[in-house]
Amino acid sequence: MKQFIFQKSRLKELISYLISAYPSVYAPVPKGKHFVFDKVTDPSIVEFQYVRTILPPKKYLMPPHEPLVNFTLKEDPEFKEDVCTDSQVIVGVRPGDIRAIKLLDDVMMNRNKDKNYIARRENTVIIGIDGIPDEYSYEDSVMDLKVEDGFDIFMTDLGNMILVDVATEEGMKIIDSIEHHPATDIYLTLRENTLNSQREMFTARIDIQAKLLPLALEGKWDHPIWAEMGEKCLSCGQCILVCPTCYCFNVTDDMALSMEEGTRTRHWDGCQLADFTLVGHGDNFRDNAAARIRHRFHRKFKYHLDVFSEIFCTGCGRCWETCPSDINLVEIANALSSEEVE
Amino acid sequence: MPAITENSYVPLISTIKSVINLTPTEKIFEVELPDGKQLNHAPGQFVQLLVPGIGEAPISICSSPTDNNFHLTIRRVGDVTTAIHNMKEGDKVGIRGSFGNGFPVEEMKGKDVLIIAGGIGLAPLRSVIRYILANRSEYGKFTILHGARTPSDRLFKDELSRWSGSSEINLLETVDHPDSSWSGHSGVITTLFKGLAVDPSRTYALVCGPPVMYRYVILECMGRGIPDKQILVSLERHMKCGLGKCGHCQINGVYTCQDGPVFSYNQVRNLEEAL
Repeated sequence: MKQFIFQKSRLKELISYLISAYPSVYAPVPKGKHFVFDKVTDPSIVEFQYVRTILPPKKYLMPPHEPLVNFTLKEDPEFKEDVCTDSQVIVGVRPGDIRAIKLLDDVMMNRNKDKNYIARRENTVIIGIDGIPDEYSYEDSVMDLKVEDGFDIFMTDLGNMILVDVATEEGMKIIDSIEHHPATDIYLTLRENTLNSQREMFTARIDIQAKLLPLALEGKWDHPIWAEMGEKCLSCGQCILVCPTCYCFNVTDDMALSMEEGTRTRHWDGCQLADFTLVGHGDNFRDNAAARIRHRFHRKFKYHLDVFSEIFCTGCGRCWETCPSDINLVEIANALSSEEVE
Repeated sequence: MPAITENSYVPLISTIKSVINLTPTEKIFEVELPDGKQLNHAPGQFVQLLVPGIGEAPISICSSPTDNNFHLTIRRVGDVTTAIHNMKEGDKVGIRGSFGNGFPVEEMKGKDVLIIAGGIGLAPLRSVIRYILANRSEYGKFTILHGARTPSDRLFKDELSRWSGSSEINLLETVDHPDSSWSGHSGVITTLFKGLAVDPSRTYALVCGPPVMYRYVILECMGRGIPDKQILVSLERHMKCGLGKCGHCQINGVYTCQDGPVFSYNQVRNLEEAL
C-alpha cells in the first residue's frame, strides 16, 4: 500500500481521466433528495458529499436483472452462457460498501464459484472514499471505518487535500494521471483524526460488540421482539433490495416474442418476501413476517458469521431509512442484548 | 459434486427416453444425457429439471445409479411440472446437477435399513431402495413402511407388488382412506410400527414424506431406540440454484441443496425451522 496526496480540486481531472480510460465509470450523483450510483460521462455531476446511495454499488457486480444464459429453441435447443467481462470503474464507494463487496467476494468467488460475478468483479476497479454518518448509520457498531483492502484506491477527504491509499497497479496508473505527492506523516495523522471525529458522529449504536450477538441470540428464538416487528412489517422487501450484503436471487427463463429464443435471467429476490420459501404443493416454510425478520436478523448476525467469520451487515442504514415501518436491526439487536449485557 | 456442465447455470440438453403414467397426476420420466454422459448421482440427490422456455424445478432422482439413464417421478403441481407432463418420448429437457448429499449408502453397508415413505416421499427413497436391491448382499434386514392417502395414490404399483412378493424386502403398506379395492392395512403410517421388530443399534431409518409426517415418524424411531444419527430425513425445500447461494432453501444457517436434502436427526434436531 502506498500513500499519496493530491489537491481536492484535481478530483474532476481524475474523473475525466477515468471517463477517457474506461468504457464505464459509475459514481454517486444526486437524484431528487437522494443519491444514486449512475454511469457518468460528465465529471461535474459527480457528488462525493453524500451519506448513502439508494442502492449499493453491488448492482454493478450483481445487477438486479442479470442475463446468465441465452438460449434458442429452434430444432435442437441450445444454451450459451452470457458472461460480461466489460471493464468498469466504481468511484466514490463508502467503506461499508467496500466491505460489503468483500463479503460478496467471499460468497461468490469461493465454494461453487459464480462465473458471472467473478467476471464482473475481476474487471472492476474500485475507488473508495470516506464519508460521514447520519441518524440511520451504524457502521461504527459493526466494522472498522478504516478499510485496509477491497479497493484499488481509497481516498480520505482532508479538506483541501485528498489522501489516497493505492493498493494495486491499476490504482497507481490512475493516480499517475494527475499531479500527486507522497503523503508525509502529518497527513496520516490528519486521517486518524478525521476517522476519530467520524466515529464520534454516530448516534445509532448497537449496545454490545456485534460479534457477540450470536450469544445474545441464544434462547431468543421465541423472543417477543420477533412478533412485535412481524406485526409492523409489510413484507414489502425493500430492506433486502437495498442491502449491500444481500445476494439471494431467483432465476427465470423468459422467451422472446419470437418464441424461438430467450434468456435465463437472475433477479434479486429475498427472504422478506412472503413467497420466498413456498414450494410447489403449497407448503411455505417461513409463512409469517415474524419468522422472516428473525431469519434475516440471524443471517446478518449469526448464520453467516458461523460460515464466513464475518457479520453480514455494514451498518449502512439503508434498510432502516427505506423501511415504511421504521423497522431496524439496531433496535432488534439492542432488545435482544439488553438482557445479556454484563 | 462433479458438474456435468462447465457453467453452473448452463443446463445439459437431454432427451426424454420414456414416459410412464403412474397416477392421474404423477408420471415417471426416463432421461438420457447426451454423448453417453452419466449422471453418476448418489441415491437421494436431485437435479434441476429445465423445460426449455418455461423454467426449472428441483426434482429428486428416483432411480439408482445402477439403473440405465435416470428417472424422475414428477407430480403435476406448477408451471414446469405441468409443461413436462405434456412432453413425450424424444422431447428435449435441460438438466443441471446432480445436487445435494444423498443417502450415506456406503456407511449403511452391513446394517439394517428401514425405509419410511409417505406419499411422493417414496420417489426419492426409490433411488436408495433400487440401489440396495442392486447390492442386496451388502445390507442386512431391509424393511419398507409405505403410506399413501388412498389406494389409487400409490406410486410404483408394479414395483410395490414385486417388492411385496420378494423375499429380499419386508414391505408393509397402509392407506389413510381405504376403498373397496383395498384389503390391506389402513391408518396413518406410524401404525405400521406396531409389532415391527427392530435391532436399533444396527438400523438406519430413512424418512421422506409430507412435512407433517416427520415428527411422528421420528418419535416412533426414537421410541425403538434407533440412534439419532441413524435417523435420516430427506427434506423438501424450494431449491432454486442448487449451489448454496440463492437462499430459497435455507433452513436456519443450512442450505438444503448443498448440506442436504438428507440430514440425520441429530443434525436437524436443533434447526428450529427444519421439521
